[in-house]
Amino acid sequence: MATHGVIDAKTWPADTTKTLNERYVTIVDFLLSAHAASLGISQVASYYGSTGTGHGYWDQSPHVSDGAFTVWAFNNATVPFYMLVSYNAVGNTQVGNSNPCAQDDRTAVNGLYFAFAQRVDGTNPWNGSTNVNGLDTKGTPVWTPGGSNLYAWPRTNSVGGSRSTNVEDAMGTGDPGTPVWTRFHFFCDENHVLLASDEQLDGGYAFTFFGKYTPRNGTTPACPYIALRSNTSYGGGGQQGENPPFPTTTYPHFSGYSVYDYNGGIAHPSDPTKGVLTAQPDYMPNLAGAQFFPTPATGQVLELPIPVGMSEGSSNAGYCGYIDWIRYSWGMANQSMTSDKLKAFLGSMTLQAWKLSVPWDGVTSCGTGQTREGTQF
Amino acid sequence: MTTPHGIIEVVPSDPTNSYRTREMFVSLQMFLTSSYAVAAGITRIACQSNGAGGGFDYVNTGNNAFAVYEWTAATKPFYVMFHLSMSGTLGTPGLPALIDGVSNVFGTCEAIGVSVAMRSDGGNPWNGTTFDNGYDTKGTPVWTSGGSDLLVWPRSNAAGGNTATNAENMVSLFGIVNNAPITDPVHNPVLGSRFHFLCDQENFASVSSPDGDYRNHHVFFGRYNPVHGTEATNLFPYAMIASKQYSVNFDPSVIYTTYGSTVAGSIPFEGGIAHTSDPSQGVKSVYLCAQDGFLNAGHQPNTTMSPATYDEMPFWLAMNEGPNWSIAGTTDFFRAVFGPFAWDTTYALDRAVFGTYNATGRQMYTVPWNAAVAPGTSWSSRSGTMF
Repeated sequence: MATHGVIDAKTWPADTTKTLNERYVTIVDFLLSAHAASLGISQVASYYGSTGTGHGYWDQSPHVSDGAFTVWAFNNATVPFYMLVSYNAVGNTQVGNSNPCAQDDRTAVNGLYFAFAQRVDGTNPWNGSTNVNGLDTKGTPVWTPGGSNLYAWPRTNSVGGSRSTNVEDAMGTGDPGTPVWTRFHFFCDENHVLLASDEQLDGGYAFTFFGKYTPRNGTTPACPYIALRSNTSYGGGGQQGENPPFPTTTYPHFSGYSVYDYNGGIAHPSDPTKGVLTAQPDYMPNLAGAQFFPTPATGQVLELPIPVGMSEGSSNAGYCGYIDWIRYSWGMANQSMTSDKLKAFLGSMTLQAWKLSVPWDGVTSCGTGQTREGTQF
Repeated sequence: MTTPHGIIEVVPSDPTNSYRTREMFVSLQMFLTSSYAVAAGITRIACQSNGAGGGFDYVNTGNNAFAVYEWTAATKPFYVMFHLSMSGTLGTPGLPALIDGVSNVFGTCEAIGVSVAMRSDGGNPWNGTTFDNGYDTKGTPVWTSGGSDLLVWPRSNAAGGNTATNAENMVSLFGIVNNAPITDPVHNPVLGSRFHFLCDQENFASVSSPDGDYRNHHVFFGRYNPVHGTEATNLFPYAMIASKQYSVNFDPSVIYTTYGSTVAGSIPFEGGIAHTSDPSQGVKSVYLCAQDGFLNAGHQPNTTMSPATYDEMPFWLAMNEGPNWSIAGTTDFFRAVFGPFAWDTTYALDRAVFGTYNATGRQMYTVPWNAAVAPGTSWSSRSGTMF
């Protein structure tokens, strides 16, 4: 399966409104492209925002504004899923037609945020209007099961979650903090989505992933999908030090009042009535180190799949499978690439650390882009 | 993993350690020449019975008997020699020979040794005679390259190893030190040992409990899955993990450690791994560790499954002998598990748990099983159960 995306986009400095607007528009532009269409991605709904006049950057006419959202169907996924993309920079996730909406279980916050949903029967769980005219509205709840079972991410939207009534929560995708230049990359194929953002242009990446995992032997989950959003709180966002891109903790990881340092969830693999529960990734700390990564013996880039499981109480805990679309490597320089430029390595500026191996376009040098539009492939 | 076969629940009860060791060896030979082994592509090419003629039996098989088998259906055919030592020191007609680097392993030399070899050209590396009539002899060296690249286990037999000249070292597959009784509350006292041997077309594992308790002496040899990105260049993904110690708990000191040394017997664990990219460099030391982030009390058994099930996770292998370092890949025949009691099985009885003495909530390992009887079912059967 081919991967497409928009890479090396660099957004406006020192202005929260402008940087979030530019991220949103750049991603939506990609999702509207022929590249995305080739993956079976189609638009289901759109809202231009509370003062929006159409689709475009903040300095264009028409342009989108705070509260803008779009909904996308990934029709060619093994189990079709739906993605909500939205943003605001006025400290209110519920501005205009974006209501109801929360980001990481909060409403008085700025950000660019994603939510995902799918039904076991593969039908459309979006409960809002579908005119795709910039004026669509959300339903309440935002996502519904119909006559099937609903999996809705992040975990707060699901059974027993704080947002399970209106199913309005979304995952933040990196915290711009005090805005400076930001570089980001957005990738997807039929079954996966990844946003990697260097929030402060300091080399510390934050990651938001949604996608399919390979189930453990002996299981046949109806929807083997997981969402992971890494910590966004380090110095305004991004990974630092030797930690793996998705540290081994619970997603969401509730720390303090209504703030999720990590967010996400995993569809229950054997009981769809339980919905999405807390996820946990793993990695191989025993294999870190120059003696194993990269390998002097072969000169090859070695990559490890990312084991994932569920970790919510004693009755919903265990290994579920592994992510193989993106992988871990150790000791690669941040933003370095394979010689054919078909893979890039993102994480922290610490050389002796785990990096996320992500697809790349075979042409662009990672970290060199200077435009908000980035490079589509 | 192809269809597994094996001989399990071999529980001889002869009170004499040397005879009990022989019973174990002979039962293994009977399996390796059975229709089950033939189905796995195993063919005997040489044997020395030292008194039992062309076959092996429980009475006449003598000290320092040995037999050599080819795993013909392996992706890269390999050859395995099993050697019986009943007392004293290793000697004729089985020389040259060492087990775990010495000629009197465990002091008593009541043990079974095993070594493995393959050639990069697929040819036969056995340097002894191949009459297969009970009177074969070893060559010196025991294994040869024949103009190709020789991959030979344990590590000390390979280039740079202290037994590389004669390639005569073996790892202990089984060995008796104590003559302890099995302390099963129902069958107590039963004097004896317990032995299982599992294999398929690419792998074998020996799981023995010389003292008949839950502790194990384990040897694994076989093919692993190369780590992503190396499938095209790692053409000989084979490794050996051998506990060497006659009876150990499978605790972290056994799991997260290096197996195989250039000096035979100099570290607690034997084994090795074929060089991950260059077979001309032979076999190197191998590091073993588990994919263990979910192998803990908080995540086992796996309650996301219905019914709740203990997860079997791969072991990771890495070449670990400077300057030859690399992550290698993951095992499948031999897997890690956390929590169940030794001798537990899957619901289908097709995988069995071994590793640690009389305790739950510990790291263990699993091997294929016969889908019929649980470990510990037999309390007196030197011939065991084949499948």
